[in-house]
Amino acid sequence: MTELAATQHPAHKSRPAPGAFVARTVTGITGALERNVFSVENARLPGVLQQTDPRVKLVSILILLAATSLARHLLVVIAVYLASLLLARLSRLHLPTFARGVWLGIPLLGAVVAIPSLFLLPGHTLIATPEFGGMRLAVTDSGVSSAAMLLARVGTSVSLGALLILTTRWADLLKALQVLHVPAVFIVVLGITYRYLFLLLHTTNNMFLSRTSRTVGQTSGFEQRRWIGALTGTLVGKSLKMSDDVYQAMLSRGFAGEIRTFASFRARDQDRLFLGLAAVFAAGILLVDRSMM
Amino acid sequence: MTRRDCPPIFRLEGVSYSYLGRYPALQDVNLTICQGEKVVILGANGCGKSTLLKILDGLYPPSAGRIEAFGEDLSRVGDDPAQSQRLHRRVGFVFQDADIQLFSPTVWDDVAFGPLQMGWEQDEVRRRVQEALRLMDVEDLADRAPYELSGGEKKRAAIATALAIDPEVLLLDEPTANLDPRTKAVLVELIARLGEMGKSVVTTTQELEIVPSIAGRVIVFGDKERRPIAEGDADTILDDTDLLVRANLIHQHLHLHGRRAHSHQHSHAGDHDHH
Repeated sequence: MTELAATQHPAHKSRPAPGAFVARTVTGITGALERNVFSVENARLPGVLQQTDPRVKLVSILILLAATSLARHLLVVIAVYLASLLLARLSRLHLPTFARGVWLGIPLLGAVVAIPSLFLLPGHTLIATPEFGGMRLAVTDSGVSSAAMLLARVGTSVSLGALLILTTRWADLLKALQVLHVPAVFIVVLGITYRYLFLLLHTTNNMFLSRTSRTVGQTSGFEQRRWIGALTGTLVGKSLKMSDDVYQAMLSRGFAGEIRTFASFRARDQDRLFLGLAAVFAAGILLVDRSMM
Repeated sequence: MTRRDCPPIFRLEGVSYSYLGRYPALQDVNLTICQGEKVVILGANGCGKSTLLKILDGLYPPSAGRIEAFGEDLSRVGDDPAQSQRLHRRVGFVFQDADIQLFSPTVWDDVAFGPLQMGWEQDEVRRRVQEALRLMDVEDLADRAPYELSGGEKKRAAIATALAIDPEVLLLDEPTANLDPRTKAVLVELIARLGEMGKSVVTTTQELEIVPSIAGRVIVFGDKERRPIAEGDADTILDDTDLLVRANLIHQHLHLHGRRAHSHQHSHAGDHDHH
């Protein structure tokens, strides 16, 4: 059984005892990371983005992100968002899941920034609260359009980022960073971190399972905190041992302090076409944006 | 050819090693390993087998004694990147835990790591990676991430990472541990084939059933002595039940009779005759 299969075993999905909030949190984080970071199912689908050179994909998404940030009109941002949905469709992603994943988190994060702007920006009053102590709160039209613009920008940017991550294996995404002149040593360290993050999550999950299998009844908050402290210490020890072992494994294969990597991507005509279309689309919508007053 | 006139690859004289200066792992080891030899280091848990391989690979400096590899003193190899690279161009090491060996995002990247560090041209790197993947029959796993592999697949990929450098010597640390019988058989066959290709292969194990297939010479380490207590060909060593019991490689009530696995269905503490 592979590690991935092992961590997706039904036992891992069983709910810890009520009150075991730390265990639930760690299990939740592990599950979310596995689903979103380590899953390669979407990246293996035969869609348009999956078949595009990762470097081209990275640069194209960055161009679209820049266009989203520079656009001044809501309709233009919505146009980019619709383009991201079209790309998701062409990449054979499940649209409802894709959209839900993006928009469920945004109200929480976006509201913190967007809600104050509803009341603070001057403009025509749309709704107002009754006077209270000589003051009243009013929602203005410019406040609403500013909040809508903010949420649209965040939603579109997150969608574009999600498209890149979902349709590209992490290994390829990391290598693609070379096109942005990210130093090779940084890319290799990121790759190793990503690799062992999974192993560490796997170990953490197993330690929780092992504890659950030996625990009868409920444990107090104090006991749980004490155990988490011990778990953290053990994991730090294991990480240090592992990093030492990995360094030895690198030395034994000839590592002499300078990382050398392999550039294996080769852009094809269809990749150049994709990049061209992304650039033309971004330039086009920005021209339209500037012509709208 | 006797041991005295064989061209030595490794020569250890009075080598000892202790962890943190307090926990002895090896004590006064004297050993010579020759070119083209297929050596099996047989010993129980904690007898110092893995430590010995790390000393042979220049990863640990001996706490006492002297080690030479290919005629070069290895006592300062940790401070000399050029010597380290020279040594690792000729010696490949497969760790017991394949997860340690497979540290890159994909199998292909892992296999290419060694050749890239040697500074070879990209076409040469590509050719060597392809050859190593083919030898270990893992070509179809090249694009997979290590966490997507089974235990046996990981082990084969790990051996491919060492083979990609085409080393003269291969150090294998318990290569068949925790594998199912079929995967174990495939690996034993692969290790035997590496020996036939002319490589020197040093394998540590405590699994007696694989020894006859991969050993030209067997060195038995005592788990209390932490040094070799016997050596000979596979037949001589495996037929010496007293030696195997003493080295904690078999138990009085669960062991081999000749080449056949044999288990007594009782657990009394007293000695009895083993006809």
